[in-house]
Amino acid sequence: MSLPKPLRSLALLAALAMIAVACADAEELQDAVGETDDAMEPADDEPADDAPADDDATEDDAASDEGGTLVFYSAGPGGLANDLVEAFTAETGIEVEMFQSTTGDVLGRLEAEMNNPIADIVYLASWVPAVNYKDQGRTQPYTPANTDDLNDGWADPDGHFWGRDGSALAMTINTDLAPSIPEDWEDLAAPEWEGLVTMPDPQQSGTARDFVAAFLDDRGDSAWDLFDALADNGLSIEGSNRPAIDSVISGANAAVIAGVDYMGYGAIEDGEPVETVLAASGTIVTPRPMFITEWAENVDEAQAFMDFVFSDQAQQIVVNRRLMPSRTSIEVDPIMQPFDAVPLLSYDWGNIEATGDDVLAEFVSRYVR
Amino acid sequence: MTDTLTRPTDADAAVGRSRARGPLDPRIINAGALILLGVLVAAPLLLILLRAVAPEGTPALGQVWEVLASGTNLGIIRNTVLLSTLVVVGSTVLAAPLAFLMSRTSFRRQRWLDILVIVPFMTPPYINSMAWIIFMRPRGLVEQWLGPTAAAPLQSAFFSVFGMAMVMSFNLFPFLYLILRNSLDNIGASPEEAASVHGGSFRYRLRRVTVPLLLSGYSMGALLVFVKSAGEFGTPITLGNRIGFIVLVSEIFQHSSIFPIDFTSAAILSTVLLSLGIGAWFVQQWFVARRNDRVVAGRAQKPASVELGRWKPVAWAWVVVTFVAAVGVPYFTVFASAFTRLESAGLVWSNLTLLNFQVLFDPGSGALTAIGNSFRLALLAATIAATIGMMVALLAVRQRGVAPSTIDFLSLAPNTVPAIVVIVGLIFLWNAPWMPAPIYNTTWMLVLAYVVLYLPFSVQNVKAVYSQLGDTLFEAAAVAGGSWWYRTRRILLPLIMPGVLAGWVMAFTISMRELVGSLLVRPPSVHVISTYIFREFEQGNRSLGMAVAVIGVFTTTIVLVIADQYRGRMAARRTG
Repeated sequence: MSLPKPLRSLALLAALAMIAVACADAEELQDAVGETDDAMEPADDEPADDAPADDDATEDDAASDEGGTLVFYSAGPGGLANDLVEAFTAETGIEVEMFQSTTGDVLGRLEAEMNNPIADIVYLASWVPAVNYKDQGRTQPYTPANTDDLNDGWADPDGHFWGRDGSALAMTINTDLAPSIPEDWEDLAAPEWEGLVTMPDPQQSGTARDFVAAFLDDRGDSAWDLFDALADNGLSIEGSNRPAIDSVISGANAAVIAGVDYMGYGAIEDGEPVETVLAASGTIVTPRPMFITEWAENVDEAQAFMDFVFSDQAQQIVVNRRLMPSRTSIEVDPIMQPFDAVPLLSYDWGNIEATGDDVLAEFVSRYVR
Repeated sequence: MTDTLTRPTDADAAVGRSRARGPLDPRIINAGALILLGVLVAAPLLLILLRAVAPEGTPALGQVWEVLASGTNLGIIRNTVLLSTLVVVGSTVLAAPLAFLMSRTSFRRQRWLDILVIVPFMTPPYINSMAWIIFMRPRGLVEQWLGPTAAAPLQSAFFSVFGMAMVMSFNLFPFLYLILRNSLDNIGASPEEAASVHGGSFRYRLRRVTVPLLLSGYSMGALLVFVKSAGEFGTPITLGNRIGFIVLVSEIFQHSSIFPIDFTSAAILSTVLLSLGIGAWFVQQWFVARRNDRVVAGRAQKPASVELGRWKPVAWAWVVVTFVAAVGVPYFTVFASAFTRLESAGLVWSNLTLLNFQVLFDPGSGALTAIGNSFRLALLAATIAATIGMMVALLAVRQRGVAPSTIDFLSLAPNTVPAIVVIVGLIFLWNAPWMPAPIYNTTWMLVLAYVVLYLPFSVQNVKAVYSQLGDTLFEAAAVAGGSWWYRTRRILLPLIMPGVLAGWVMAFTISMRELVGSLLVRPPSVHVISTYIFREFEQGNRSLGMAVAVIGVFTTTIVLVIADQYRGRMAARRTG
């Protein structure tokens, strides 16, 4: 909209359009439903001459959208993705075309485009799909700079995908409504919490899915006791992380179980009456992987971006958005817990990947349908 | 009634011959139009059928059966039928009393109600749903006003299929209202007066005369509402997914956009959705064929009137309640939300802020870019659609035969086929490995989608004007020696221009708010208004999303207000 010429012709065309707008509301609707009784107004010659001018102007406009040097498909959070891309472009001059959505959307789009793939580099909020992508030969190895002090287990052993940042799954509490501040998962199954607890739907949230699998890996079949007790207590299982946290912020629920921690931190900083608690008996931290695709056309730019996201600058951006940095030397914000302070369940990503589908099916058949 | 107007008659054909015998052989023009519409409309829809029955190139009907017979999908089909039926009921409850009041009583002087009734139709369905969700959610506005105890039953009723049906009824009842009111106007006073003379009471007349005469028109409107709600995307994707009420549209969207992708199921369910519409159409045709009501007698009719008397306050109360719910609640909520800071604090003075608009106007937020994109893309798409639509409409009205009626059918199909089905078809075509044109994943794909979706508006509007043009002007010009080009330029174009422009405006307005196609085929980095709002809403920044919606509403309102003044001035000039 910066060009004055299109702008002028837009205004012109808008003005012309208005002649017809009045018919466009009432009579249009009738036309749409098939009623053509009402005659249109008699013609006016004026509009005929001016219309074509706009055609050209807008075509020029759309043509300028083309080009681009790095295609980046990114899961959320959107603000973080924007910040990183902006800083990267400022630093290197490489323009980034980004598709930013949920992990499910990003994977869906990648799959839909398998005939004509265009993504050079991908970031997901869930670890398991990256493992699958590597197994299917859809990734390529690259070891980015600045990864010497990476958190333990945050990289693929063959160097195909790397945890850029991560989040712990926590209990996020609305302090105005909570009957008490829980310390461990089981506390939320107490009678005082009846009907107040929600959990992201593992069918929609990759992190919640990983949590259930990890919890079973840690506790074996007795893990179902916790979910049974929560379900008996009126656990609502809905949507992805965002709506779950939202329902706690807005007060529809008083606690979210196994939701990502950074959304809670964000809410606290916005001044919402919220507290984020890490369960004493342990939780999972999901590193969020980034990888270069096998079919990438802009490999140099993709590698530059890989290097960049592990730099001090980028990792600080990560911290500013309240995600866990991937490097041990980066300090976290006081509101957050550093990776080594998070009590962890004992789980293995290999097991989670192997059992994930069955665990999900069991969970769904028990509590969702 | 509609049929007789759109079906080309002998007279039309004769008129056409003298109007537009052009320099090109009509067969060449027809072939060109057929190829164009074949690529734009027919190919995508055929690819869906092909993909549904033969996903790997060989027929696999067993798989179709497997998908259809699965318990989940049966439930989804049942949900779709249930929801659409409820919307028909809801729309009837909203539309029928209003149509009666506006056609039969002194309310017909309140013409502004006819403007107001367009507002819910013009409100993007996803924004309507989002507003209602914000209004009804626990600790939302309704709870703040009524208190938790009084609000609880309302809330639990809303977060169910009934809430979905209500929101969708508010969006769709204007269709039914216009059809019912027109039918009522057409019936005129005579049948009712005849019944009255013979001593029929008001109720008797309503039951035995008016309602039976309305049924044909009503069934058409009900069919439209049924098909539109079965194909509606905004409410199922926002409210429906939230409460786990999955319908065909949301399942097709899920299969074609979210991991794991299953295009075969998407194609099969798209076919089911199409068949549902066709099935409903057959039921309606059967219903109309059984009846044979002639209400248009072809002579001047006196409009029938009913004195409201002491019922007038009740009627007013009903009208006010209808519009408060259909217009007041969503728009109030959109504005309230756009100016709110903390989600948890609700609507109190201390919680009001302009922060969301600050964010919006910050270039980094991308909101202005999205608005600009929408504007440019809609402009381009509307112009292309108007051009193609104009040519197609002129062809369709002018001639008779297989080719022109195919052209006619194809150009109107995207209006009846649910948008998501069209879009899935477009993906199949333009994202195919053998497709040489590199359009998929560029901005042009959005333009293409809008053009295909809104071509019918242009065609319908031009046809409406063109079929009413008399023959004499063209003959006069021809006799006076005007060439084909001269006649086209000086007579035809000026006369059909209002129709072209009306179609252009309709396509432009709706392209500006289109959601499902934009979500599915937008290239990376490109947001439009609707996808931007949708994403912000999904990510929990409801207030920011609503702030963008407010800007959208403002732009539209300003355009409408200026348009109204412009029209008023034009009318004044013409009479003065």
